[in-house]
Amino acid sequence: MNKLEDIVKQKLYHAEMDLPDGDWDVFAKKMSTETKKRRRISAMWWVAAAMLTGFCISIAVLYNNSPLNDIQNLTAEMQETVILPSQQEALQTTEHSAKLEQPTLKSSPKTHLASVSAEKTVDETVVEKAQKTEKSAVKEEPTLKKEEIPITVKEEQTETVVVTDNFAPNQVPVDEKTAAVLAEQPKLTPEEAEKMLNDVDKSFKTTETASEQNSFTAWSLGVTSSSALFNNTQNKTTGNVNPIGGGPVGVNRTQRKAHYDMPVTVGLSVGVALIPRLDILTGINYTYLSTKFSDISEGTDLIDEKQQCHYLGIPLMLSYRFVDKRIVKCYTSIGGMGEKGLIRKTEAYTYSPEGDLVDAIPSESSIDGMQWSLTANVGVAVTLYKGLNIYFEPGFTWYIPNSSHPQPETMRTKNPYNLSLTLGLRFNFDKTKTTNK
Amino acid sequence: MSQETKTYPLSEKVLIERCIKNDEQAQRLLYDKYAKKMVAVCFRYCSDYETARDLMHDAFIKLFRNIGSYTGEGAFEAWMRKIVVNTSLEFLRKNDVLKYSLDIDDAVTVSDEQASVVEQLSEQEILKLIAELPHGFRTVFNLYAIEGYSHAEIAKMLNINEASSRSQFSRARVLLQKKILQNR
Repeated sequence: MNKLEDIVKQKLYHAEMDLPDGDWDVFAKKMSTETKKRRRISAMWWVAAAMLTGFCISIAVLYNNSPLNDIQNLTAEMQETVILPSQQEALQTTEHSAKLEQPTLKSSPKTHLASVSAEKTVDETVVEKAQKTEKSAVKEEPTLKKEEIPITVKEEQTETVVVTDNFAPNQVPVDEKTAAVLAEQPKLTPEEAEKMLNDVDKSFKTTETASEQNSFTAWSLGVTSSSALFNNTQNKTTGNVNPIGGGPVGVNRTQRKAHYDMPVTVGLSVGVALIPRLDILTGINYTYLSTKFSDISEGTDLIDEKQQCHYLGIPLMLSYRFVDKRIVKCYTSIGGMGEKGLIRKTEAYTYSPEGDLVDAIPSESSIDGMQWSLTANVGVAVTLYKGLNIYFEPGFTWYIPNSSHPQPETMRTKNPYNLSLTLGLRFNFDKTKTTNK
Repeated sequence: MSQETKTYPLSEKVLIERCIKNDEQAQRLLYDKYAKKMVAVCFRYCSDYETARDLMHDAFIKLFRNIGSYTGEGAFEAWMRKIVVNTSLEFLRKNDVLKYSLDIDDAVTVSDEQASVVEQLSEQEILKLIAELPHGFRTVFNLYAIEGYSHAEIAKMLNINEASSRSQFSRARVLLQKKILQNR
């Protein structure tokens, strides 16, 4: 006896169906349209990538040239150099015990008030000062309102000098010891003095650049947990038509119900600041997706199936902080994630029309291909303790359909556009301080 | 000395090489050679002639775009058929028509009398009978009985249990057998 399928295969494997005249022309037109569409999409991706790159570069350039940035640096450095009245006494005590044979001055590069990290000796600096202050600074000293700025010297020594409210780089006052040293120095011509000042300016600029580079090294570690904002249930009734020879023949009707549970993601993240306010984030995420299907075929039993999918993914995000306060930070981030399905577990339950469980078949299978997604988030981070932040990130994600390796039917394949909410803890390791020590 | 011009039918290998170079004439020759066969393959899965034509066009677009990845190992027709079947399955998945069915494990064989009935049926008549099967049954039947995939492969392709694939195939055989007998 022959098996039915053998006979059918023999008949149908090489079966042919007629095509209408001009079918090639229809196909050629379709292929040409598809090619153009593909090129257009490809061009759009390039444009989008170029715009994104441009946006990031603009942010970086704008931020680096922002007056706010200068003020923040200045404030940070002033905090290190300006002495509060309460500290004056202690400093004055130090002043007497300090040895000033070869001290190095320390000043803020922004204000030229003190400190040169480039190891300039007092001798050289004082000569400059002498050239500039010869005419006015020392003479004006008695009438000035007092304020004090420390000069840090080598071996952690600090000397206090008296300056005025309208203090300027050209008006550096000197104390008695300095004046004595000055008296022993040969006098410089104005040209030599100018050259020296230029050298000092260059050393300031070098220091400033080095400090800014240090500030890019901030990084963070975090744990995240996120979920889609909605779950979903879909009912679908499908008609089965057979229009061979033209007429539709409705033979079977099938009602199908699918309930997609909210996806749950947990993960670890690590971030590194590329430039101030702009971070790059990556990490590892685990996602659990659960779906329940009920298939009701007309005149047959009911089959329920529970499906569980497990994914592991690596995100890559760019995050820009548009509010960067001490307690609250607001940011926006964009990026994507590549996820690999680890396993798909299913349990199929068959029920008779009377409701009795006829069969239960569990199974496991691997998931081929990758699930790629693009994400845009807006987040708020609140500092809980020192560098520890809690953050909330509502976001929008597009799960890109994988046509070469279709992923199991889940909420992501049914609703590729998902709204999600991420909650997490992140520890920010402080930026390297912009000191010149 | 006069030159004699002879035209030789292009071999499949040459056709493929020229298609890789986007030669439209070669593409047309290849299309003409296989299109009728491939539209029949699509029809077995979607049971609608116009949809089958659309699917066949989509499959050929994919084929010409990726023809460079054909390594030459195995028959070209088998490689093409795989693309056509995958395109049809993608369509079925997108339209949510792959269904589950009951487990019926009784082996179905055909008696001599029934076999002669099947053999007397034309290709079109058998295609029509297969087209009347529910989508899930028809898809599994096509993949297993005609394309020669195993149930494990089918389960992976359709994202269903291997057991579901077996049961749908059994069911499809029973239904098809009934339809053949009714068609006597």
